[in-house]
Amino acid sequence: MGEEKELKLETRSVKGYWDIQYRWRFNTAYLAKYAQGLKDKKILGTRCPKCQRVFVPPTYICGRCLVEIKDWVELKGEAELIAYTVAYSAITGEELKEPNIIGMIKFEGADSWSLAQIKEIKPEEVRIGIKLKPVWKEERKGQLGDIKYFVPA
Amino acid sequence: MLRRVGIVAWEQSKSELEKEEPREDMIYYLVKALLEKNEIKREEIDTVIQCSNDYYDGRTISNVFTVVPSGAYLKQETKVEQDGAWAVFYAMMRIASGHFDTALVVGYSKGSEFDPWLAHSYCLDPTYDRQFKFLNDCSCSALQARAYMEAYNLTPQDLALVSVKNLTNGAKNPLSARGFSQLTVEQVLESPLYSDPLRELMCYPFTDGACAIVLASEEKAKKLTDKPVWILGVSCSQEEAYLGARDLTQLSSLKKSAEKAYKMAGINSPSEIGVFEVSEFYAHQELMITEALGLAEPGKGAELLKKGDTQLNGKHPVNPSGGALSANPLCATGMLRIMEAGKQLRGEAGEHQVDHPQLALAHGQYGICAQSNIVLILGR
Repeated sequence: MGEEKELKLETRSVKGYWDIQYRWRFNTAYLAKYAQGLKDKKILGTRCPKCQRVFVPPTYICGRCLVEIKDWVELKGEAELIAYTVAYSAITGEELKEPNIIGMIKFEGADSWSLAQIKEIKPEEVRIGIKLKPVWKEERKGQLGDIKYFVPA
Repeated sequence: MLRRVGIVAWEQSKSELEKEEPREDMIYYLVKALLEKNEIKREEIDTVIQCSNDYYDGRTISNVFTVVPSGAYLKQETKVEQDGAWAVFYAMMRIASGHFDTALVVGYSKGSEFDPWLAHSYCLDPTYDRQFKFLNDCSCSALQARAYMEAYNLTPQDLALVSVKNLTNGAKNPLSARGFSQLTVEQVLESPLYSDPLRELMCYPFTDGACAIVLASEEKAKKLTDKPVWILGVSCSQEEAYLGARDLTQLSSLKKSAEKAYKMAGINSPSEIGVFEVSEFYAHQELMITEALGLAEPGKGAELLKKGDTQLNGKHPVNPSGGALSANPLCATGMLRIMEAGKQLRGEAGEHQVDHPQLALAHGQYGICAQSNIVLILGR
């Protein structure tokens, strides 16, 4: 920009953050049914009546067909690793004591991918295509956290 | 289009990793310089479109604070919260409608004042993937990189080659935030590993910067400048937000956008375009972008790069300015691509000028893993 600025620049920084609590209302008919399935160690998905794609986690509107999805299917707990990353820091930037293996997995019979944390394997041994199985919590409450993480099958 | 729309003037703040200037100062000096250099009076601007993001600014409806420095006082001002390339598209539509003859577009952000990767984790569904607390912009993009590399047997070296090209181009651009006159694949692969396979030099730098562009109707454009750049084609589209329902090995929405923009501009093949300025936020994305634009078959973006075709002096130069790996002031990045494409067409790109392009392509993206894409075809 070249020109000399007329104002002398004197600045300081102040810290700030959002201080708003939200109460998100969401369609429990779908995610809650999925979570309820987890309580019984079941992986449930929804199938689009038009394109027949199976979604896990379940979704209730198909973006491709723009139709409501009401059909449920039960899948085997086996999954395949589709993509992964090894994170060396938390999302907030702090260095992690142990690297975190984050995967995108596809349950057998599903067309969409699910997020998964993967353990009991060294980061350098992770390969796309390996088979994984969930490790369940002893006391399951019908929550997403009922699956602790995934390990090689 | 109802009537032709031209780009008549542009200006950018030098992109920097950290600017001392507060955002209001940055915008004020930018807009002043733009108007003064091009002898455009504030009174000649009919409408102002700003591009910023409430999360980046840390305040809601953040454009109300920048109305005065952007010159929008008592004008029809509005805001786009995506990328500045969409703001340019919006301005173009306002002019094409016939209700406005001129529009000023201002896009900015200050990446030094917040954590852009963390801010993007708030794009994720709060009732599902955000609950896991391990995804931010970088780790999501790393999943995309890994899925893409696996699909086509690519290596971290292939990604590093993109960084080498763009960061050495960036050294030729005096307004970029990051650049190296010499850089090797080995140096890229030795930079800190953030989220495997993405290393520091494969990720965009958090950047402070801004860009401002004036658009005008054909008649008015010819009065304001003797070298207008015309928008010949434009299209945008987006995929769904949830990563697991997308094909992460390709940029489907960019492919669709490019095809429509080419058709609108009357282009049969992307090889008719002389220069490409694209928004590759991460190294692997440039390979995916060249494929979606039709410059290479799926999975062959790395081969195109290795042949030298996308180099500054190659057959299809991509990011001679250094691209987003050299500077990524979010919200302004797509506008920088448009400005750089315009500079190339006018022969004003300086040390990173390519050889006489007749047509130029500018690309913008926003959303996790380039969920949404826009393509503009520009010509003299």
